[in-house]
Amino acid sequence: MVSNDSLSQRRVSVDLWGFLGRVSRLLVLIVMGAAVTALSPQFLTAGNLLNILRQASLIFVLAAGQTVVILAGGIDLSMDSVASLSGVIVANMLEADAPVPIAMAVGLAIGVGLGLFNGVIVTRVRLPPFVTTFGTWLLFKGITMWYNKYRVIHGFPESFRFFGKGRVGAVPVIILVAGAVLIIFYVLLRYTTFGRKVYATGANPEASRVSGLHINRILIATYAISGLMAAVAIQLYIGRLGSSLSDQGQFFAMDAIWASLLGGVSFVGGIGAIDQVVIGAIMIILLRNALNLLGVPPLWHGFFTGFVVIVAVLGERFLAARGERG
Amino acid sequence: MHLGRQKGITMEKNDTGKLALWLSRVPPIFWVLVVLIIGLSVVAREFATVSNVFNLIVQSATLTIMGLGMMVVIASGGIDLSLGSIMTLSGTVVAFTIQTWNLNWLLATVLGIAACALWGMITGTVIAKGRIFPFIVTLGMLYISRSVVLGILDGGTIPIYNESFELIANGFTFGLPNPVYVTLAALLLVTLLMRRTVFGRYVYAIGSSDIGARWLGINVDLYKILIYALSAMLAGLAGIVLASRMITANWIAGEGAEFDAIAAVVIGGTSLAGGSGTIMGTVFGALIITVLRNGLVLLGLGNEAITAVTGIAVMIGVILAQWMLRGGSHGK
Repeated sequence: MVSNDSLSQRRVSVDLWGFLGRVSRLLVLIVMGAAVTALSPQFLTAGNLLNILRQASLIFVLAAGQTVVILAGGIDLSMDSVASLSGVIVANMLEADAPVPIAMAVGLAIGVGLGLFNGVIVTRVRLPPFVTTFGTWLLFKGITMWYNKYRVIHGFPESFRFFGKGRVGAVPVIILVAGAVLIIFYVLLRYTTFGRKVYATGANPEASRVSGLHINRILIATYAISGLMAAVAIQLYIGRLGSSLSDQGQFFAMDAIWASLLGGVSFVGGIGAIDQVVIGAIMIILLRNALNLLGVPPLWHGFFTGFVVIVAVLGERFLAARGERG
Repeated sequence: MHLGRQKGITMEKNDTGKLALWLSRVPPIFWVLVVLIIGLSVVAREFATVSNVFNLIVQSATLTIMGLGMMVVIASGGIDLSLGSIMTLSGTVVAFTIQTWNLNWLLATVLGIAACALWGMITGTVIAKGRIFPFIVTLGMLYISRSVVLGILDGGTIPIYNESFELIANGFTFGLPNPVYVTLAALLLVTLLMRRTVFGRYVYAIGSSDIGARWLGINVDLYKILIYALSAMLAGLAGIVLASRMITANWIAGEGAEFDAIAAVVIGGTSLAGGSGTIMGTVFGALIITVLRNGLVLLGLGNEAITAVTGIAVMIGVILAQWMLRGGSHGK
């Protein structure tokens, strides 16, 4: 009788921790939102919320690509350079009066191509992902500087800039793009065999290989996806800014990694969900917003960003450990 | 049979046997460095001049010192992305304490390095006790320490007006630039720690298998804290040399230096998987990067080519190292 009681009690506590683990991210986001609202009454207006979503959209597009790579057990540090190289090529084509759809398609193709290059080196030459993408990060950066020099290109056609700065009604197009990316990645990762294979490869590459998965093809595909998303993001970015230069998108890989981390994607591989990454991306923007509202000088923003990420990951570990122990 | 073969070698060709043994112990990367130096001496006229060689030595000092610390971290299965900003931290502490408190330069230097070691201990504690990936923690620490440096410098630079401090990087002793001695001191420290103390054994043990090391009764958490303290301390030392060379504390000085250090370690044949790592390989790796950059500049190539070539060199370095490793295991 007594043991039965304690058992049911235990189950309740297990569920509590498990539940907290599952919704903790959303709770933290709500607390952050409440804190910023308390700081500034202007925060909770439709215009500002849309603005935050708009800023988070760019990070989410990048983080979606990065998440797929991390889920499969890799990492892509080269996103910055893939983005800047594909971006300057698009800008140069547009400057030479190429049709907008063709320039955009070429830019995306270059992103995929550079991603494939990463993937082939990781799988065929068997270099660790960190070394590969670090090496190609430098390589692509060098090629970008050689190709574009110090030229600044502006005056893009409005049809190109539509995706980065246009609006449909009151909603910025970039939010719609991010929404589409979310739906596509959600379906891809949850309801397709490819998605299951990505999780399986990240969780245990050797077991996946023995089970008959072509893990090399899967890994190459993840890097291609990451390259594609970098190319998408840079087109949105230069579309919004209206100008392009060689060292654009320098923060892309880091922001994507931050968002994935805050979204609970584990570096071990095979653990994480794309809908949580959305929350991670919004958290980054909320944090920056809060620091600005608090009047923290930009010099100290990095301090709080780093601090919050470490505390967030620590908190997550704590909840996970509690859940397992129960 | 094995004994007999060994005997035969020692009896018949004693000298060649020893030479072959010695040659087999030289990291393969050394020959790459030799070929590179010979090639550049032929192609670029200014390369093999005394002034350029001294220049090279001073340039490679910071990278070598930092690379040694990074090597220890990587051998323990970790990585430290915050080293570049920690490097800037020591110079900043020196500049700040000399300028505002008028501190003695030696005391300021010691304080700068100690601050870095403390910083590394914090990093190590979070990694060891929080059981979080070093990549994540040190990335966070990179942002935090960069912010602290920016805050101290108030977004600008602080000049260092102190002749004794300037001599650390710009002076000569017994005809050689002072950074040579600083580098040798760091090399000696790391060699002693890794080869002559249990610390070195434990670093490799932890790198091979964290759980295995725990089962062996090694206080893994304590050693991880020490490892990150050591690497941060060496980065601090490198920062002192850099600040002395530039005679200013500049927040951008160490930017991206951690990636150069990782490149040096990786080109030197150390696997990012942990459990291995050679000291001399790292030194040669750092020299290769410095020589390569110097040579490309002398050849009149631009920044873009240097960046691209470094990227390719990193990848080729790892391919070479893996190839050597595979060849070695097949041979046996």
